[in-house]
Amino acid sequence: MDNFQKKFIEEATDLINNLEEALLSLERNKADNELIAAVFRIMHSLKGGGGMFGFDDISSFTHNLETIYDEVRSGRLKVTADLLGITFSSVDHLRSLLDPNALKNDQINKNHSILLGKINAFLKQDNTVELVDSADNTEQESDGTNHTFYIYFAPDEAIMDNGTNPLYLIDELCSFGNSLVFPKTGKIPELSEFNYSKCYTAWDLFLITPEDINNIQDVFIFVEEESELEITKIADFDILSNKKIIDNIHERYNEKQNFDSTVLKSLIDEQVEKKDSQTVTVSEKLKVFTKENVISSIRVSSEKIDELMNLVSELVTAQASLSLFVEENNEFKLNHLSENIENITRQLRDTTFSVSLIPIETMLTRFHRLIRDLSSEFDKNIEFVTEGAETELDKTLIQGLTDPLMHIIRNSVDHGIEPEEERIKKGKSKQGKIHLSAFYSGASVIIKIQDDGRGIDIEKVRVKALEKKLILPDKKYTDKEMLDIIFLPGFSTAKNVTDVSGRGVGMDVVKRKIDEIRGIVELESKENAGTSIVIKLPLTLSIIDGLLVEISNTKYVMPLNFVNKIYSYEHEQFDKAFNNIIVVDGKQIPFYYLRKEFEITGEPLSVEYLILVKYEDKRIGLVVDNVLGEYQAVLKPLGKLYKSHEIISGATILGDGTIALVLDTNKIIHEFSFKS
Amino acid sequence: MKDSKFKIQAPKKDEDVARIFLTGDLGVNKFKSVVDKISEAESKYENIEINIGEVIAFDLASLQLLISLKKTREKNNKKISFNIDLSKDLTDLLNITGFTNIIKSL
Repeated sequence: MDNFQKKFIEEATDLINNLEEALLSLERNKADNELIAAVFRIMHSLKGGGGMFGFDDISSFTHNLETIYDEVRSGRLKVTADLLGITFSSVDHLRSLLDPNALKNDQINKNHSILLGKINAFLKQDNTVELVDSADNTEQESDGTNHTFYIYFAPDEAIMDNGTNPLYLIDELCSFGNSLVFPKTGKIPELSEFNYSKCYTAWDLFLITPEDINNIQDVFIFVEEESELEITKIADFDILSNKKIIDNIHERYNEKQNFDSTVLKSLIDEQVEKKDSQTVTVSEKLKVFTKENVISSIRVSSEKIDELMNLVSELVTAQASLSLFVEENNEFKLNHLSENIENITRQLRDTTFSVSLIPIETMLTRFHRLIRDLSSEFDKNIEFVTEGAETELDKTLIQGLTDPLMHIIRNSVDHGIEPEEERIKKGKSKQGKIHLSAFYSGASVIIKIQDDGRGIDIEKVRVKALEKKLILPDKKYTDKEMLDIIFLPGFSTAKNVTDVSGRGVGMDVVKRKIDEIRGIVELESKENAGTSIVIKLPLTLSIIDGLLVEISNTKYVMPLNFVNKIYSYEHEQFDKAFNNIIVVDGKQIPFYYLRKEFEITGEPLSVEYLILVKYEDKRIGLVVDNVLGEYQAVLKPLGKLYKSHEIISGATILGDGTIALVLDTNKIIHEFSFKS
Repeated sequence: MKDSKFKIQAPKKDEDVARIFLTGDLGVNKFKSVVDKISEAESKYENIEINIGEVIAFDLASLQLLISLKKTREKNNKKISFNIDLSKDLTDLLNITGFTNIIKSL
């Protein structure tokens, strides 16, 4: 596969995703002309690109779809549920066709034939097609009189990158009537500077046609935003019939003079007899878009971003070594230099992070689609509402989050939201709601998925947990503890195992996946009111701002975003504390004495430090020997031997080359509170 | 999709002209290697004859390359000539897009 084809696959994937998104919106508002035009445009781009880069199956398949949507666009067909159903299936099929050998697969080939059959049925206007009365067609009809338009078209330099051949645009334009075309090739450089994929040519064009200016503009519909385009009606008659005007235009072209609509108007005024000239108007001028040659965004492969992140991580480690060296040698000039490098490194780190952040809206379309398909399958009426779609997350987190969220949403549709009749009986609105919201909270991102369905029957969970021996029969469990059991492996309360959920490998996998990306998942539920799942995630995975602490000459890093306050106390106060509670600023604070919890032997120091960390909605103390200061920790994964130690989320290399373990304060508190 | 075919025939003993033959698909995505080889030939030979025939497709990139080559040869005071034989469809496309005179003047 050549680079052009790889690039096409990337772009086509985006186009197909955009198509799916536009279709989902169109389903909600079937008469929205902008959405219809967007769907048509995407199909047109897929068709053009597919043909250009050798994906002929995509090109021909999309051509048929495009034909239907052209009918819709022109008002001759209406968007119906049947049409959308076929189009959604086609979207899935187009994804398969991105593999050039897709049609060698029997199942895909069969789908291909079935879909083509359905599309052809639409094209033949079978009964499922709702034809629109021609009287409804409000599209502007031409009056049959020829007008002369002056068109200046300077395509973007990169126009050929996406498979557009400007020659075909000019060809299509000229099919509207008679034309006089002047290519401007002056910007084509010599071979040493020539780039075969760049467009250096612009056109001055005179088009004589009865068409409306908007129809002319439609030819450029996919390129106008990136091109310089001017369409001006310069005469209400055919200027080709006036030899003097034509000679003058040729003369200007041969002398490499620029055309200008105002100059052209005066030229026409001069040449046409006075009587005729009175009918000439420059009434319509459409300066569509003039774009400066500024590239606002570029596409970069994720491998390159990963490489950049790795290099920044290494730089942060190297900078820590430099800082330590400067501290030990105490040289003023070097100190100043080191501080500068530290500042720049921090800025570089933050900028690099921001590059790898992508908005969660990139994964929302598939959730919309999932809910649409499942609602139809289970005959449920569900509204999917999203909030905070612009919230950004590290791309690795987004990748790790998609499957767990899909599962949570599947559960909501399958087990949570009731069928319409059941909801009405319960006095609820007949339409169920799944609400996904995302927002920043400190250095974390919170994603909340809430439904207004049945909620979880805690008694049922208790019975099932006892049956599966997941809880002790005599022990009393809080509702929260019971809900947490749902995250244990093998737990499922579904009566029937369905294709969607209830295989008993659900929420434990969700929790494990969220754990893998250093997230926390919590569940709240109220019977008949609904269920809410909250996922708390770090903003990034590779570097954290940490607090470097020490216990018995071993260094540890705690994530700074969880640290609230630090206090120093005599060792005695911890030693004498009843039930591991200490009074801080007049409040009783539970604490864990890490030297003891980590089973570290040796004499404690006379003064020790209590670090208050945030845990759920509480503050808990963690006691260490010493606090060394803030530290940017580049997280390195731990080997297999540490895999079972959940309280350690990674390791980092310090400036002196030694290793510090990065502690997961939430897991520490969770584990030690469970032990106690 | 057929690739472009490209051949350079070095000057024969009794001639000083190098002949370049271009056929097949001259679209941008098949064109990179052709551009490199033409650039190489441009600097190597004093007299070049470009023969274009049996073309199944071309786009703006191929036309721009021919114009760029002509400009380069003129600037370097080197000779170049073109023999272009296109199908009716492609000739029509050249005509409609205004390139006929430019190609004729090459």
